Amino acid sequence: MLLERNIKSSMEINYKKDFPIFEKRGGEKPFVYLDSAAMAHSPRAVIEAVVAHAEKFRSNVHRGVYALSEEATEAYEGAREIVRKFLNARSTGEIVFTRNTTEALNLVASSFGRNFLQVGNHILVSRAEHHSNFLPWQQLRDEKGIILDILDVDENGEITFGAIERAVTPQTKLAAFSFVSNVLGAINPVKEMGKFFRERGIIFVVDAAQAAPHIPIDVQNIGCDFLAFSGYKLGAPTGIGSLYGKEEILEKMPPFLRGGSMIREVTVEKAEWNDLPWKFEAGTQNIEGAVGLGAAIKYIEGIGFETIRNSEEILLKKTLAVLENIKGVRFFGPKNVLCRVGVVSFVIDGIHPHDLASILDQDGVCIRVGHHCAMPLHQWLGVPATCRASFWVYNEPEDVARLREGIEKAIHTLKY
Amino acid sequence: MPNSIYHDFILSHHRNPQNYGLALNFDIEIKGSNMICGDSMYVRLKFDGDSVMGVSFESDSCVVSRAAASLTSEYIKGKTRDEIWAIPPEKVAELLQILLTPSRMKCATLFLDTIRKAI
Repeated sequence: MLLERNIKSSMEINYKKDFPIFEKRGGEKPFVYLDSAAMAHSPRAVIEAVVAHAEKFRSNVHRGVYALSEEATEAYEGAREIVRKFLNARSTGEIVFTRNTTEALNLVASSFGRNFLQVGNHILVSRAEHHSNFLPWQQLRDEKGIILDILDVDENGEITFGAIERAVTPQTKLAAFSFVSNVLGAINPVKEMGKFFRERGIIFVVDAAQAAPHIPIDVQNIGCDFLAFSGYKLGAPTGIGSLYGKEEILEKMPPFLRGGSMIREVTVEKAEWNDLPWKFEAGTQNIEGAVGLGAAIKYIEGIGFETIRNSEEILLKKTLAVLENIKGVRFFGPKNVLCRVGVVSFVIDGIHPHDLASILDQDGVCIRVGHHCAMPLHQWLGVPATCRASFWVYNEPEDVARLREGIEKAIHTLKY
Repeated sequence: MPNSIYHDFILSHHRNPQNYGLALNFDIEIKGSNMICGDSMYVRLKFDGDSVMGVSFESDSCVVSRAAASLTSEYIKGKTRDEIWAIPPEKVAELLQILLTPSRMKCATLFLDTIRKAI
C-alpha cells in the first residue's frame, strides 16, 4: 500500500534523531520506548521553544503594557491560533487552554453538565472510555440524578452504529466518546457519530487525547460540540492541553474556575466575565506550556499525518504478526490496522503484565502495564491488567523486534 | 543480590507458594489490591491470643507479589500484631533477596499491606 501511494513513512527519514532523549539516555542496548500513548517524548524543537521563551519572553500575559509582556502575549495567543488551525475551529474564542484532557472534560461536565442537564436526562458513554471521560459523568449522575448509559464495544473492540441506536433514548442529552480508545487503539467513527447526535440534538463530547498524535482532527467536519486533547501526548510539555467548544455553547456556560484574568469587572456585589476563551482561563496559565504545544504541533505538521499513519501501519502490521505468532498471546482491539492507531494491548497466558514489563525493562524496553485508567473496560475484557505497546514517530521496526525478544525471554523465564 | 528479579529462589516460591490456598479454620479474612495493576489477594489469619497461628492466602498476581506473600506469610507466623506492624518494607525485599524499584516494591508489600488493614 505504501509503495502504491508512494508516500514516505517516518522510518524513511530518521525522526528519532530529533528527540534528544534517545541520545542522552545511555544503556547497554539502544533505549526502546513503547509507551507514547502515556507520554510522548519531546522533539528538540519543543525543548528549544520552551527554553527560548523562558530566556527571552518570560512575562505575564494580557497584563503589562511593556514590550516584554506584549511579546509574551503574542507568543501565548500565537499558540492558540496554532491549536485553532490544528483542530480547524472557527475562531480562537473556541480554544480554551487547560492542563490536560482530564481538566477539559471536567470543565465540560461541571460548567455545562451542572447547568444544562437535569434530573432524568441521559448521558451516553462507552465502556471503553478512559476514567477521565467516565468519572466526570459518573459524578454528574450521582449529583444530579442523571442516568448514565453504558455502551458496550463489539468483539473487535469497535463501537457499532447498531449499538448506538439501541442505546440512545429520547432523554439522551449528551454523548461522550473517545476518538481513539487508549487500550484498544480502535478509531471510532466520530464523523458519523457527530451527524447522528446532531440530528437528535444530543451534545457530542469527543475525548481526542489518543487521536491527536496520530490522526488529523477537524472539529467542523466531526460536528462535535466539545473536543479535548493533551499536549504531552504530542511531545509538548506536561500541564498543557486544550478544550475546543462551540462558541455559542461556551458563551452560555458559566466559568469553571474563578479568579484572575477571567473577569471584565468585579464589584463587591457581582462580577462580569471576560470574553471567550479567557472566561475559562482563570489565573495565570501555563504560558511556556502553550508555547511548547504550539511548537509540538508545528513539528507534527512538518512531518505530516500521512507519514505518521504510514509508519504506524508498518509497525502495527509487524506487531500484530509478532503477537499472533507467539503461543498464548492474545491482543485486543481491531485486527485491521487501518481501523486502529499505534496502540496495542495484549496479555500472555500465565504471565502477569508486571512481570513482562520488568523483564522488558531489564533490556531497556519500556511498555505500559496495568488497567490504563480504563477499569470498566478491563472488567469487561475479563483481565485485571494488560500489557500495552504504543508507537510514535521515533519508533522503528527494530523496536518491535526487541519487544518480540522480550516476550520470548519472559515466556522462557517464567513459564512452567 | 542477583541482577534479575526472576532468579530461581523467587520463581520456586511463585510456582510453589507457601501457605497458598485459603484455610477453612480462620478468624479474619482480608482482601487487598494493588491499584497500579489491579491485582487482588485474599488472606485468612488465625490467631492464638495476640499472635498469628495460621495464615493462608490466594492471589491473582505477579511473580514478585506471590513470592513475597509466600515468604512473608512464613515470616509472620508466631508474630504478634505489634511485631507485624514493626516489619519494615525493606524486610520483604530482604526475604526476596532482590533489589526492587518503588513500583515493584508495591507488588512485594501487597501481602503485608493487606494484613495490616485488619490487625
